[in-house]
Amino acid sequence: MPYGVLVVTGAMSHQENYALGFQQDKRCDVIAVADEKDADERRVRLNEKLAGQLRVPYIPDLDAALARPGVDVVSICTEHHRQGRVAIRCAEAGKHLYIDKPVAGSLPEARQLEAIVRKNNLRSQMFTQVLLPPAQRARRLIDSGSLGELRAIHHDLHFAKGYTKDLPLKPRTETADPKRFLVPDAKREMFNIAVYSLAMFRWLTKRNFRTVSAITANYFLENNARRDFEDFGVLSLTLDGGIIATISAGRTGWRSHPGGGSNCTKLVGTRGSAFIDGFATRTEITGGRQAFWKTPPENPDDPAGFWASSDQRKSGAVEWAIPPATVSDQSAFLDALDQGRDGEVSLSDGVHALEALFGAYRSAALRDVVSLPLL
Amino acid sequence: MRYFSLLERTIEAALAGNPVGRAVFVRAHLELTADHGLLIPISEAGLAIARRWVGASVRRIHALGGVRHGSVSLQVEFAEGQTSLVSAELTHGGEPVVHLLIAGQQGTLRFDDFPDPRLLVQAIGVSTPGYRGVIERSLTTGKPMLAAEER
Repeated sequence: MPYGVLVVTGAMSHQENYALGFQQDKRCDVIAVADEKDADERRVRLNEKLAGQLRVPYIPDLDAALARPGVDVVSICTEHHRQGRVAIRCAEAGKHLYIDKPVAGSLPEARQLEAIVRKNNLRSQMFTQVLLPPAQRARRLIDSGSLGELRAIHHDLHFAKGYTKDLPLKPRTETADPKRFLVPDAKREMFNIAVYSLAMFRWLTKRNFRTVSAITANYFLENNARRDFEDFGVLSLTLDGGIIATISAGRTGWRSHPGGGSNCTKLVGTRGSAFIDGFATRTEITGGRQAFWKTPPENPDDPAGFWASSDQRKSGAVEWAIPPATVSDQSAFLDALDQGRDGEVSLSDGVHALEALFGAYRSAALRDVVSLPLL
Repeated sequence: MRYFSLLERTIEAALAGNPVGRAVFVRAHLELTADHGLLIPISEAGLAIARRWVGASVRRIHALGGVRHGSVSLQVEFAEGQTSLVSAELTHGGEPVVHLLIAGQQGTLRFDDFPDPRLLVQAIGVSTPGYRGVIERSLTTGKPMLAAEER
């Protein structure tokens, strides 16, 4: 019996990848695309677009969609400010959750969701990068014991997308409790990118975060500056057991990297250390027809080039590609369901990462260390 | 360590002509010693040259880890909002290694090196300006400290 998957929200979101990943797995039957009744006109248009591509109906009423027979799993990928309440409705309806990162735009909602998932004995997975080769290699190194006891872990994750400007430099004044994280032309980039690092740290260490100290900045992207969304963040954390960790995360512009962007992990143990470059294994293509650093044409629906359906191909000089994961994140969740367990990074792990992110905003606003969990 | 002046000049030369735009973030992994006692001086020296690459004074330092921990990491905010993460780590008897990532507003510089150990045998010169007191206070308190530049 295949898993019936309901897709919540459509094009111009990571759902472009997630829905396709589910549809390509023979264990799945994607039933429909759905959304809340009051989704705005643009969102409805994009939802209908993905439904058309998937050849499934669009149901503009989430509750009606959840009530349809055969829905086992919901793949949720809404704007963060409504993702918590959408996921809560799906969990209350007894559906397993495959959820975009970060899991919600509000910590109380995320905690409420976690409690419902636990009470209803549901399985969950937050999308992350832990199945990609760099994280898998980090896991093998730690598990091998060759580094000794892990003492520190550092991650730089920069996305080489977006049109950069020479913004005037000044210390950023941060908001302690941000409410909005995504609009069509800008994202809060610490929120959206550092979550991958935080989830990986928790996945690698199984430890809780104890303190966080962060600085946010506007270095690269004019739209982010105009909307008062950071485009870059650095975080320093302590974890249970005395492990220290640092992260830099941000969107650094098309020209900042020949591929997707810097993705480097440093593991420091009591017996040794390791440096993992996400592009250590890569494909380089050079050819006479490449104009140096031609950037993709701007898509008015997606001016920052966030989503896969926009042209994200840079050309010119050397273009790097990296090997894909051996199994898609969506198939890995189906494997977990087959085995009656949570995915590699569960909703609960996602809530821990979210807690650290909100702690980071508070820290950046106060310019001080913040203890976790947040009160 | 003669290595720091070589490193500084190498990166200065690479940044000349502004190929990456204004430097706004520096990540430095400095795995240069087996001696725990040198971790703080190495992190301080690394910060002193990062400061010159970004071209702004240090506003605030948050130090994590420590001598007994076996690694020291500095989170640094500069006066105009630039940032840096500088870590000093032990070689554990292996080859010294440096990994550097500088994000500029129009590009990125990546530098990886396996320094000749002969460049690492001399004592570390006094960093100017110095940050050792601030780093030690931050390690002791677990808090970020304002850095009135010390020298």
